[in-house]
Amino acid sequence: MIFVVTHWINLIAMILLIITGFCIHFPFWPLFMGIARGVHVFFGFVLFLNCVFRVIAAFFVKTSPTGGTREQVPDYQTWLPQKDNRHQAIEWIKYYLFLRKTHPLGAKLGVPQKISYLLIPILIVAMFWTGLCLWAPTMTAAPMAATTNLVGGLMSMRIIHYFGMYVFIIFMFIHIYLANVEGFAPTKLMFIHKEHGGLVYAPEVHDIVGEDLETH
Amino acid sequence: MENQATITEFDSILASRGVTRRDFMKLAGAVAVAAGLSELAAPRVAQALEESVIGATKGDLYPVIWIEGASCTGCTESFAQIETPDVATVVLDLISLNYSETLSAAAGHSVEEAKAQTIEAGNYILVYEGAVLEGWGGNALRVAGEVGTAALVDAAKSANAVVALGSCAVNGGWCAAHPNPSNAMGVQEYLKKAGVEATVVNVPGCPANPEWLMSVLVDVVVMKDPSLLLARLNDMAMPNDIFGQTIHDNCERRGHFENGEFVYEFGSEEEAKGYCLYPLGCRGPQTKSNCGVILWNNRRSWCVQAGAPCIGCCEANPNNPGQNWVEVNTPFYKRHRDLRIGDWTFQPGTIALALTGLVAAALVVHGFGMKVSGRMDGGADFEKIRKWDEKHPDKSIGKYDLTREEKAELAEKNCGHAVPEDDSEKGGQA
Repeated sequence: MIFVVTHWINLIAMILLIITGFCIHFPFWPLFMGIARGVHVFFGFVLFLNCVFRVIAAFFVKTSPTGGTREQVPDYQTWLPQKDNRHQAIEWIKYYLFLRKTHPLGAKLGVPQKISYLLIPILIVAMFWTGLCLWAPTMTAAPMAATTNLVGGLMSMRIIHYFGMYVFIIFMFIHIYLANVEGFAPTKLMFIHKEHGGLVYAPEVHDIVGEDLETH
Repeated sequence: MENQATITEFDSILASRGVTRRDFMKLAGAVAVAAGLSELAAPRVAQALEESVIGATKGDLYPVIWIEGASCTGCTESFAQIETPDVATVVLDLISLNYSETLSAAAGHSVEEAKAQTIEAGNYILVYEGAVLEGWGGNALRVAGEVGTAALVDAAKSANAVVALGSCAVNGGWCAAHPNPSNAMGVQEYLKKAGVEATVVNVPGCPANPEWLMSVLVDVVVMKDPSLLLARLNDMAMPNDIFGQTIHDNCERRGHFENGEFVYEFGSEEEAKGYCLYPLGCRGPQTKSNCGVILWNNRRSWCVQAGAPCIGCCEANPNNPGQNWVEVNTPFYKRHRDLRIGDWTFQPGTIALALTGLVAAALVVHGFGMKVSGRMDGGADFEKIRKWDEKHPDKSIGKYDLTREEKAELAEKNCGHAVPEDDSEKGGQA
């Protein structure tokens, strides 16, 4: 349940950061500029702290290792390689590219999915850091100034931060598409924590063992 | 006569320049501030100035060699346009400009000899204007029969301090912008490469403000204490009191920025109102310099006051010729610089939007594929057995040969209640 909350925070913070970021890059909406800057800095911290909390919570909160089971394991284990996914990376790509007809068996997070989700905290930290390099109160601090020199100055830093935003946007496009294209069940689970019956998967044998026809 | 007013030698020197004692004390305060000292140091400065000026009348001037590398002479022009008796001229009158390609009256052999003699005598300051050109074995720039790099090394070796004046001298400036065929770089980087130990002070700008040069000279020429100067330098060897804050920090139009009042077009009503020039590409937020405080042209005005967005001419990383102000700031009126792949230049926003559009289009196409292949309703059916397991039955990941009873037992365990036995061929994950 706690991860429903962190996901909501991610969503709201990212949307607001993207909108205000565009306004700061170029004041399309001049009167909003002052508010945009305040909101941008505030939600930059919110997104970063939420990310830190999410990563730490992964070690204390239990979640299901795969879909279709009530079995629970410490959440961080679902972010590491799982036996259910072994040898399935290429199969997932093939599935996405229509090169195979059946859906690969796998853990809660498929291989490309898990890798891309794991990149998100890295991206959030990179965006937070480049943001601090551009924010006047922190830009002259030694570590930020050193990073700015490394990338070739504030203009380069701004462009890196700007491209980072597009990585978020592209990720969101793909993420929203893939999470909903086969039905809205994943979205219901992620946003309102509701899950219905369906195929039952046994992590013990790494296979589907039945179908739950009841709705919960 | 005992009751007759007398004036000191120094006051008469000042009077001859139209400067009263009162003006002088104000000037001493200004010099103190220029030198990075507190205004409380004004009496100390006044005394030092007085001694220096009197010394100057007796021919005791501080020798300065001013070499132009790959320069447009703009920094010399900027320096030479000081005409009124202000802080800067008084200080600059204390130096003996023994060599300057542009300003020296002498020319040819005699002025080169004056330079050689000054270098031999030592105890001078070297002002180097323009970029250092390393290209073609240094032959990209030749002066008086020798390569420019050799002239720099000779003069820098015995100098008390080397002032790299102007952005070109700091890191190559626009000479170092793409494609930089002459391999332009700054003084500090070249001297380090050449193994010359020298105290380099970087004063960027295109051109550099003469008051910045004056403020550097005050420490050495007037206060005779180079440690005052060293204490002011930041990690780019620039006086931090001059280049420590952004243009934006001290901008007179900052209020309009805060209010969200912007100029979007030259010649518009907003421009007439003096609104913020941010949408026109102003580089104030990322350019560090005190232009808006010290002003230009004898403190008359400065770029932003004159209605021009800052083009970031003071951005110059002495250790990175690629971070020259032209490369990182053009086109000046756009919020972003252009990026370059080979000879192709483009705006970051264009490429980012194009890529995002491409991904969106690919997803739409993919969506049609999902529709056609019937995967939209819960996805395709699950595989009965993993492909890899099929080929490697001895090392199989999944266990696929369970009996109905075993399956039913595991299903009940994993979903919390009994479920009908699985004999269907269809799939669909929860």
